Amino acid sequence: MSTLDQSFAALADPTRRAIIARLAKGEATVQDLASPFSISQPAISRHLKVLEEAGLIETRIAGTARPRRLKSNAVAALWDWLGQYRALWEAQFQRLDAVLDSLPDEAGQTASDAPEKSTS
Amino acid sequence: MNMTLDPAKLQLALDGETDIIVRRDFTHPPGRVWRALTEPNLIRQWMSSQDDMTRCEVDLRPGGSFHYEWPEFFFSGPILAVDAPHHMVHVEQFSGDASYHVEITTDLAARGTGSRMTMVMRYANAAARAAAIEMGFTDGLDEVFGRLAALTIAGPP
Repeated sequence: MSTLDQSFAALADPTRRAIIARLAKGEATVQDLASPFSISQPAISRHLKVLEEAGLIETRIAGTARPRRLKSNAVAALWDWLGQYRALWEAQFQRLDAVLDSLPDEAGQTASDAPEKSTS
Repeated sequence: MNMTLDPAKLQLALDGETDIIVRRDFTHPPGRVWRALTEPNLIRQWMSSQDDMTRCEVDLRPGGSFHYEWPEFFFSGPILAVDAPHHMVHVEQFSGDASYHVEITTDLAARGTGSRMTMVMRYANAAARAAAIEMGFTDGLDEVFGRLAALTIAGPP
């Protein structure tokens, strides 16, 4: 399984996507991550293990704490995915373009004249 | 005057502490874009999620309101200002959650034979904007990976 496949498989789970979104803001411990998700710490730890094996996050050792953070190349990959999100937004505007193309012309009226229909 | 239209270009920008600005050019004039942005039967055709809208109502006047609903959530809020076909201000709330409050100013300007839409989304404060971006981030991942779900073998339990 390639790293990319593994990343996609890891992110197929909505809780793991939410963890990634949280870590995008900064590193966090298991305790930090468990509280907003109302999931047990062992369950969070299992999700973190999947994300770490997929190469998306890494563990920092800070005394007795083990905060997790995004790996920097994973952040770059996420930016690519955000580019896809932007493309999805653009797709919505392209649907709007298609709706505009489908509207009949209203002869003899320019856009800045009175609107063709009054709702008040 | 030579004005170029670039419909393929969507511009996103953060402005100040509270605003997100979206700018997009269309090849059709403001009157036509205005109809597609404000008439429910047209809104239904382009404003889609993974599911079709179950309710779409717009009472287009200052003091009016709108309600867009999908099977699991809705957006609604008051309409504050209407100056067809160039200017509208409305407030958007998500599923009745009063803490999610965005004031959206939409301007349509004629540009050559087409138009340029500028939407300014103003959040209550910097934290609210950050939360919205984070929500968009999560939703974006959900959308991308939701579409890939059929191709993806489930991870370990």
